[in-house]
Amino acid sequence: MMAKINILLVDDEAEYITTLVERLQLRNLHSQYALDGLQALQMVAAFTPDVMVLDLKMPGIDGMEVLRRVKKEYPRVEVIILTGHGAQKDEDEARRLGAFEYLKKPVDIDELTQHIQKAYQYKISMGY
Amino acid sequence: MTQFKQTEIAFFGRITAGVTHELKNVLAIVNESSGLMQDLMALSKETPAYHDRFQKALTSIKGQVQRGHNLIAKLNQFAHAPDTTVRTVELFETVGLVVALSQRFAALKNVTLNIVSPLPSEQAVQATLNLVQFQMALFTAIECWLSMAAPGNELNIYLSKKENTCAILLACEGAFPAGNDLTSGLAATEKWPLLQDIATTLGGTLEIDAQKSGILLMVPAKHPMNVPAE
Repeated sequence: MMAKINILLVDDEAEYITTLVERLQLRNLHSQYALDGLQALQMVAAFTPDVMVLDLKMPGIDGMEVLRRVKKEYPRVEVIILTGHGAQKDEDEARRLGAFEYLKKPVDIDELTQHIQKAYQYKISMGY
Repeated sequence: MTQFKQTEIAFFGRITAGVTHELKNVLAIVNESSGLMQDLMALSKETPAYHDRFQKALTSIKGQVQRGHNLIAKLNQFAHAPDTTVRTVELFETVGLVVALSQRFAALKNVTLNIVSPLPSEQAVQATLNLVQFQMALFTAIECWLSMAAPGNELNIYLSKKENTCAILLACEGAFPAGNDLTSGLAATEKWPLLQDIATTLGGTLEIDAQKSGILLMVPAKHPMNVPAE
């Protein structure tokens, strides 16, 4: 039986993120979501997810800044970047800051599911 | 290029790049929504009415979303060209982008554009140049060639670099004017004077290769402004 993974999805496109929540739920992955960087940081502080799926371009605190703060204050949270903006320098920076994976939209839902599970397994293997 | 023109182009690029980001989000929502419909259909214990037609339509949506993403990614890359005036680029990749964006213009004339893949060592050829001007030169050369092409022609694009010069040969496969007919025909095309101007601005040269029924554009691998004066 699959362990319950605490997942936080962060994207300012409400329709996108709510559909993603529903699709993951159909694959027995239950997630919560935040619609901007500030809300994401508040939610991380409140329930410390195992895995965070994070967009980069968002109004207010952008995804790169969220990643920087989360990896600094909550290094046990594994962060998967899921963005439509695939510049190599962004990927390099995200990986430097500790992103577990860098994915580009559109991503196949089963591929995303696998990456979430891999990130969780990695977290467990590190003894977190 | 004057400072004002450069600013105008950069403005155009920034707005276009911004819109491509929005369009990516639109496609991402369409993709997930159609994916959710597929998930729900797969879960349904009964075969819904019109199941096959739904499935076919959803597969079509998925394919078109991918096509849209590919096009938008190219448009986004193109829109970022004016971000810096002179930059170092991978020539093979840059030519590939212009050719991809020119395919529609070729398709309207029932003509095929191909990049003849260079040797792996030549695929990594770099050039430091004004990217907007270089892309415009290449596109204008394709336009000139297309204005003379007949349905069914193929345009092969060859890349090479010798010492400090990058050579791009646009050569025809199939029946195409040759010799003096080619020279006078190209010179008479509307965009030829513009192409000559851009080639000169790039510090390069433009030749007609009558033997290969082609246009040879040669540009310095380093922008003339970046080469220290001797």
